[in-house]
Amino acid sequence: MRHPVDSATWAQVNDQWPEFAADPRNLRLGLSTDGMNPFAMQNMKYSTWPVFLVNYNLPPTLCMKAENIMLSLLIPGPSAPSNIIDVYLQPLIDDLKDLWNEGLQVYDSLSKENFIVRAMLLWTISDYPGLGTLAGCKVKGKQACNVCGKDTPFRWLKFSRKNVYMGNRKRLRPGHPYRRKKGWFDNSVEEGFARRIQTGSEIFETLKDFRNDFGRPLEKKTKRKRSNLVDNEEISQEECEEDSDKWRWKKLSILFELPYWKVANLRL
Amino acid sequence: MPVRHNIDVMHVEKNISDAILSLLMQSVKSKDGLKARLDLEDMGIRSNLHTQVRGKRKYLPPAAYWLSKIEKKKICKRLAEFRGPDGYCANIGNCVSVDPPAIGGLKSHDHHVLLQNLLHVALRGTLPRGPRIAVNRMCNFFNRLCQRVIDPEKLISLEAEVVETLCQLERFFPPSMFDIMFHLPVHLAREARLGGPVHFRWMYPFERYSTF
Repeated sequence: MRHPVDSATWAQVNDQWPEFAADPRNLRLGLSTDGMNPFAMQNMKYSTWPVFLVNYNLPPTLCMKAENIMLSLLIPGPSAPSNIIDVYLQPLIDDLKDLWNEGLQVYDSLSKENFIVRAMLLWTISDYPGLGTLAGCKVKGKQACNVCGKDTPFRWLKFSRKNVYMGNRKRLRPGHPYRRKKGWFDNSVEEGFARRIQTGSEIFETLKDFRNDFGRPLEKKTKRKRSNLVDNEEISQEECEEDSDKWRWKKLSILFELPYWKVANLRL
Repeated sequence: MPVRHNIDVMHVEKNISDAILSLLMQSVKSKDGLKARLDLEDMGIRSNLHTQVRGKRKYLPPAAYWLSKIEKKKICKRLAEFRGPDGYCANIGNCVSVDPPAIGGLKSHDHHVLLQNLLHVALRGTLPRGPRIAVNRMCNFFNRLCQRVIDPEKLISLEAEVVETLCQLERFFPPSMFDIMFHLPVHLAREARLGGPVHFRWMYPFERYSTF
């Protein structure tokens, strides 16, 4: 493998949508976002979030070069958009949806003809907190791993006052000698197994009727009044249960509006 | 899509390298300390590392991953004298002081180079066998993962190996080191298998683009 073109993702797209894969001019994009300070001053608190698109149709030597990275959106500061990034992403996602469903007529200067270009978004690239804002899941606490979700092996350390994620032994093959070494690890014989990773469609099923709340209070929150608490109690109890599948999600990410986003026919 | 959100290899690498280096050099950011030892006591494991009260003071017994001052100087000297080819990396010698032995102020690409190529050479002949092998295997994992051309079949064995490596780290290093960044390598090999080489999916180009 020397390019995403050799990867399983690419092959899956070719399988699923042969008419899309038939034209090599159809774009496959990656989306990246990151916080940056436009004033380049360390002590100034200001965070702008540029959203980049990168085109994976290019050969490996050109693909990630600065001149081929497209700046599609600039989310202004002064603070990071965090969970409401979806509101800013809306126009971009609308364009992507149009590009996928209908396509856009453009001119090919090499063959001197007009053709319909279509585009799809393969994945997003961001640092780990940024991944939390894009995916709308928790990236710290008990279910910090966005892949494992409910199976994240957390352990609360009383004195360091933080969660750590150690249970790697259950990912070893059954019968591995490390599973029986009590004294090396935490005085137990490991017999558990890691469960299968949730696919996109399963995540979409759990989140289908999630109520997105993108309101942001203008002022700093004062202490909530008791009457408010009583009103919200029923809802909050339902959503705050740690065992429920919904607990680690903060929103239904706007990326699920893309028709192909939740599709995954590979069992991997 | 099989991989919807990529875990960024660059940041994982940087944070892991940072944690391991600070632990080995016993810098202020080290994850080992009184609290970490109290946690060991709380978990009831590794009784040889529990705090001991000597007179008025609490005493931390030396751990396997501690380096003596001579060893630290040795490592720092090796790193400070490293000279790479032009354009290979920043001058790592600038971030290392030999006397007193300390490493600090590395940028994320320095961490990348260090973890890929330099750390396991610098550590040669210093740590006890167990922790050294664990750290070396971690370096080796990232080196093989970040290759420009990867073999998907070897990634499957890489995936199994990194779990074993993490278990080895778990065995020797204090539990307080294992934040989420030490969990994510478990998934990196899988994502590489599904999404192709990591240098198409990491943050370096974008971070470079957004700086001046």
